[in-house]
Amino acid sequence: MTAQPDSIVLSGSAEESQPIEFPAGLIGFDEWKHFVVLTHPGGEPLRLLQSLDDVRVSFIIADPRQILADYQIALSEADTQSLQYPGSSQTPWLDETQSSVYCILSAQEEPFSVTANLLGPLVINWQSGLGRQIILSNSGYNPRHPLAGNLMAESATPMVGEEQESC
Amino acid sequence: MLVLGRKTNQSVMIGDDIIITILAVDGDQVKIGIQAPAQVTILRQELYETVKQENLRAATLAAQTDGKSLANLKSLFQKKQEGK
Repeated sequence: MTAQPDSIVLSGSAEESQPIEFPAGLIGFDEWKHFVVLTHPGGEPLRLLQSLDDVRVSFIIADPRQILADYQIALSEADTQSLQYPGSSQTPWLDETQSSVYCILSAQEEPFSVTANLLGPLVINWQSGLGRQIILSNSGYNPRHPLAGNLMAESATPMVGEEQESC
Repeated sequence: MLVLGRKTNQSVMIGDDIIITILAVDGDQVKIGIQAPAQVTILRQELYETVKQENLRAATLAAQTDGKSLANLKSLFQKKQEGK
């Protein structure tokens, strides 16, 4: 499952050498399940989520709390099960050596603009080696949160992440 | 696609443990209740599509981002940190 084609040239050093499996893939990219988190050539706090299945697929990611200091996520039972967290509704922030939460950035030229997808963050459980992209239904978080304009505004956004009720 | 007619308060079962109930109909707005095991993810489809589109956009643009953009990108975060 962690087979890494020879053709892939990793442009940074692996922050966590362990490849991460996203069993469901990323949303809309279900054929790409294996990734590694690299330091980004752009430097901290940027990281690169590099696909091991297709060298052409990579994402620029960052800690969403660098963008919104009070950013919060809520995991559903489906999420905790998929990530193999013991117990339920554990908040991955609690132990940063075991888990990471990232949001995906989009950069665009002319005019240069960057947005962060705060609606669909990535959660990685380093212990199980599993990752999952979750959707924070009802959170009100913006899938195109503009970085340039709102970066200084600490709490420019909305309600706390809140998952749908199922049952 | 299977098409079923249902009235208010009638339900449809999917498998053994998913029940969808029509709770109210008001013009073109339908209120539905869903009973499902907690490990089943239930989403408004447009949220899924939105995140899918963003992923597609981000993957394409990450590959195209050149050195100048990276410097710009990083400077956004530096501003933030200085502002603290």
